[in-house]
Amino acid sequence: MISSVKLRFILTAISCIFLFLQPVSAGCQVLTDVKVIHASTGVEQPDSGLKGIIQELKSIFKYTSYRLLNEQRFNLNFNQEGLVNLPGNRTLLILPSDTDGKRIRYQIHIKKNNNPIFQTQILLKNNSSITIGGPELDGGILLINITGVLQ
Amino acid sequence: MKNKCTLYASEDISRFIDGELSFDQCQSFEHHLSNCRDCSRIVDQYKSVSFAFSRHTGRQSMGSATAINLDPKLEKMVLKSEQKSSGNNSGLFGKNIYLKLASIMAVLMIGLFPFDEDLLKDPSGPSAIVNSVDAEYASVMIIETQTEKHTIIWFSEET
Repeated sequence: MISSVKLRFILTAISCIFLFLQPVSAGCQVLTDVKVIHASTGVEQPDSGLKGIIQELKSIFKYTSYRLLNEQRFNLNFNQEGLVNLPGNRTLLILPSDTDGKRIRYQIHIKKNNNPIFQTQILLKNNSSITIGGPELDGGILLINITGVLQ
Repeated sequence: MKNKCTLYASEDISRFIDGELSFDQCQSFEHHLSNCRDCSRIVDQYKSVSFAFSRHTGRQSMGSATAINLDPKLEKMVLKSEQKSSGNNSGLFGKNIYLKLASIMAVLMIGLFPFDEDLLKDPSGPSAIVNSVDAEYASVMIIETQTEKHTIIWFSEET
């Protein structure tokens, strides 16, 4: 005969286990955060909006100044497109298509004067980010940091 | 490794390399070494092994290793903490049954959590896996940072 205290304890433990094992892909919306950054060799300016990624960028790039030009957040459904205007007549199109395990599949397109200059398909780890960079801008470069979170 | 020389065994040579021979023994062996080819060959072999070890581990050679002496205050603190821990012999977290149950539950949850499919697949993989890259550009590079494994795609626009 199991006492009521023991029973309550067992039920709590079971519900806790189920809570942890719940699949992440159960959500159908993807919170997508796009940060447009200008990296240059100018005077170092601490930007609070780039706190988490600045050290990672500094470990790779020679640039000293990282300035947040624009930040846009989208709550996108799968196969719903998000559009971000970038400096220099460029646009970024981002579309989460589906999930693979705990990764979000994204289609990313960058256009310049409406002509495609870059496109990629990535599997982004949930709650992680990727940085795409390269286009030159005002003596520096343009970096686009994309974070995806399954809702 | 056996020594053909009958005067000194390989163990004696090993002690010489480690600096464990007395001053007299050391002097006598050094004198012998100038005349004995077998002993000097073994000394060279032992020295090369010691050098190779220190090169791979970034440590100093075995011969110069010294014993670590604890600060007397620190030693007292360690002794006190040992005495305290030995005095508490009433099992895990004492007699509190709820603490025991909570710890069992925590262990269960921690044990079950890593069995999640994706964590087993790549617990420390890159932040993003690049499946394809395609466009009108000259070159592309995919970089991963060392600490956070943050993925960076670098492309150069065609001018």
